[in-house]
Amino acid sequence: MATILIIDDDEQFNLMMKTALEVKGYEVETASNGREAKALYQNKKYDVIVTDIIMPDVDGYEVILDLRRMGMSDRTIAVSAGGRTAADDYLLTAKHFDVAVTFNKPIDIQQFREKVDEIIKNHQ
Amino acid sequence: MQEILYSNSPITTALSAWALLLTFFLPYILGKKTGIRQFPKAIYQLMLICIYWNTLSLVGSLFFSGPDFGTSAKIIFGLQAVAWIQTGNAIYHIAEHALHFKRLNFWRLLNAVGTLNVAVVTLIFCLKESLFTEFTIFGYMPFHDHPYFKIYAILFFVYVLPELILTIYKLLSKTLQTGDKDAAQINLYMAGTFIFFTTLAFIFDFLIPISCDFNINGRHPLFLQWNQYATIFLAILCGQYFTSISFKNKSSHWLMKSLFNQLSDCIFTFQSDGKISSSNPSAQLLFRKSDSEMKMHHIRDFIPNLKFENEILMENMKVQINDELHSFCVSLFKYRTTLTTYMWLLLLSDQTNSLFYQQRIKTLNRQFADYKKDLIRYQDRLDNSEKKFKEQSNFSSTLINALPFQFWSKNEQGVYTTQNIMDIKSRGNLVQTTDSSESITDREKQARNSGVSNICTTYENDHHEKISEDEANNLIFNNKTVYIYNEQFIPIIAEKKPYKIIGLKQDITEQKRLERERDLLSEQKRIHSRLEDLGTMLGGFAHDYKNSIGAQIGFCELAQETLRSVPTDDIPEKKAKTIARAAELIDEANKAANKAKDSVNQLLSAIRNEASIAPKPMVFSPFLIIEDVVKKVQLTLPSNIHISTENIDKDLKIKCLPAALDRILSNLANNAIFAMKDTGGTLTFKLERTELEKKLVLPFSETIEPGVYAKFTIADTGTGIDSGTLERIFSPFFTTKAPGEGLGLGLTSALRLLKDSNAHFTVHTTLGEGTQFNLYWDLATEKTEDA
Repeated sequence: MATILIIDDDEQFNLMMKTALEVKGYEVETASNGREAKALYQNKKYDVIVTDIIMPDVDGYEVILDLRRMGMSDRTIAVSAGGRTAADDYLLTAKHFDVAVTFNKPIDIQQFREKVDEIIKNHQ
Repeated sequence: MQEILYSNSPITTALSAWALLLTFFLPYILGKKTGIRQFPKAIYQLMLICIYWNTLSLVGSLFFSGPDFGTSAKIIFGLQAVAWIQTGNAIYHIAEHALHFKRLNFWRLLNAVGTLNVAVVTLIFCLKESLFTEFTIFGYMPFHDHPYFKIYAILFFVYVLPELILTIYKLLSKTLQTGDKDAAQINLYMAGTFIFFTTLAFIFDFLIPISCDFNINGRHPLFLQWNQYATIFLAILCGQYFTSISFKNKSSHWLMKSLFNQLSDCIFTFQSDGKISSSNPSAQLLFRKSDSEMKMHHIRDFIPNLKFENEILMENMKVQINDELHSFCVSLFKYRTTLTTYMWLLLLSDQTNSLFYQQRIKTLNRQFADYKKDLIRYQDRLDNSEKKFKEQSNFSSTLINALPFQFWSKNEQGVYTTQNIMDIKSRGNLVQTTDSSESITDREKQARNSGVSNICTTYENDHHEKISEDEANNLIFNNKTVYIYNEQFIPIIAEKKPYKIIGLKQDITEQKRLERERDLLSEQKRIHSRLEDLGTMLGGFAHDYKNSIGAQIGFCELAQETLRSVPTDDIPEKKAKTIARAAELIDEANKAANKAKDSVNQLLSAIRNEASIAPKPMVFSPFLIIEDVVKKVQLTLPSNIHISTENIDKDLKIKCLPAALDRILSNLANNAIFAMKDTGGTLTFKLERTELEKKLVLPFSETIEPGVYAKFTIADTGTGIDSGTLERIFSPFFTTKAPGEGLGLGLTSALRLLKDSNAHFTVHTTLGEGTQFNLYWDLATEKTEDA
């Protein structure tokens, strides 16, 4: 059973993504920011890590860069609702940091699941 | 033929009587003619001889005339012959006196011998006449005939003639030698008449008797007779001669006297015994005696120790006069007053006086020297003042010419007295002219008449015509040229009104323009900042909103998915309808959520791209922004960091959003300060015009095309950036925070703004030395500004 880590400070969106993936039978863990997430992904290997970018304390870029250093860029999905500028800007930056895929909020759940499946398949 | 000694002719008797008469009148005639009372001794002698001679002649003619003459006639004749001898001697004597010859004893001897000889001859004639008549020599008797004539003729030739000839000779030679015209004339006349009378007497007495062989109408001619007549005339002549000469001397004497009277030196004349005969006024004044009182004194009364034996010249003779000790320079001369008398002349030059004058001259000289010194001092002072004045005026003219505004001054009458170069360039040379009364402003009048300093702002259009502030604002609004000046009228307060005034006219057009630009920029930044705040707020809002909407949409889809997964076969139709209805409702909710998502996206894009609200890029002077940034940064600047803004080109203009440039510079500055926070250092801003001739290709940055740019430099002397971080910086829109440091998105947004503004940048960094960012901005041209 594949394990997925979802990092998002918005509880409901976090829950929504968790639900959408749990329905598909994945084991899903959540964190509300980069700091919590780091505690998790340093001790456990996840098949897919989904992270928001703008978060308090430690943001998504740090997570992405951290994961890149761990060689897990291809298991990382960046999700952003944007901020003062368009979400595309953040996601473009994320792409430059070699994340596997990015999603604009609100996300297309089908596509999201497909991408997760695809990453898991690619690593089997 | 019998000789006769005295003629018995009445004519001769009458002539003799007449001649005798004449001799008595002789002194009178001479005195009358010459006005001289005293003659030399020789002239009186000659007169006496004439009287004596003619008396004897008359006596002889009256009592002893006729061919038979006895011893008495012979004696009288002999006595007459003595007179004859004496005449020659006397005449020569006069000549000697007049011509200043020394009298020789030879002539006295000759005179005596002659007289003695005549006496002997006469005695012989009386006692033994035959001694002559019978005198035989070589068988010939020379004195047999006319023994008296011959013997006395010999005596004449021996004793008289030489003296007469010598007199003539002396007169002539003197005449030829003298340079004095008057004396020459007198001498010549004298010599001529002397020769005439002598020759006449000689002819009558000797030549005629000899030539007629001693027979004139059967009678023996007289001899010796004519000579006595001639002697009278010679006597007159001698008197005249003497008086002529003495008259000449008299005029000299008068001249001398006048001179003496004028002299400041004392002059005394005194006789040989020392009795004063005359004194000049100076002498009278000195000794306080009148002329007549003087004459009663002896010269030794005044000068006790004077010895008058020789002519002397003596310096520094001390003489006490009325308790005053005088020192004289004494000159004593001897001078002749007549042929025989002389007098002394004493000349006293008062050295006391001359000493006094010398003293006076010394004092005057000293005073003169003092005055001269004073004069030199005054001249020096004058020179100094002049020099100072020149320096001062040079200083002030340099100063007023160096003033960065127009300067002029007017005197009390309103005439221009000074203008600096700037004023002359602007208005032409107005020195010595006045402004027309209507062109003088009230403010200037106020300064001149009331002494109130005034300052005001004036406006001129592009033709330098004065315009009002409203017109100026209108022209500025229409982008027309307007010159703005600060005009100041400063009175130079003095005792009296009206005053001199100084005018200053400062061109503040550029200053005002910069002020306007600054105002505009800050307005722009204010708008931009408000929009940014709004954008930030909306961004935050949109983020949260999208999260919520995203969750909602997601849940909606999950709900429908769930509903779709309900098996429809074993559900009653009514229930199935209800489930379908729920699915429809969820779908509606999903649609509404999606609509809300679109609205937020539209709003966001509106804020980001809405041209009408967002500030437009504008052309401005970027140094104003640098100044702002420096001001802002300095508020929180650590004390160990200095800011240097050395090379700021204030003429450069670029086109962009002022707020963007502000943000970029602020961020770079903050980063630089952050880099130096531990070490301290200098943050340097530069702004220069730069021309790239080649493409600028650098690592980490985009290629910069050749061209002209405004180049901004922001350099620090901080830690520098390591290559890893540098790489990240140049990854497009990379941003990171060093652990625990608040770098945030600043640099990213700065670089994005740079890109938006179509500007370029390079970075140079050396670890431990510092980092330098260069920004290349396209220069705004006039064309760009117009567009």
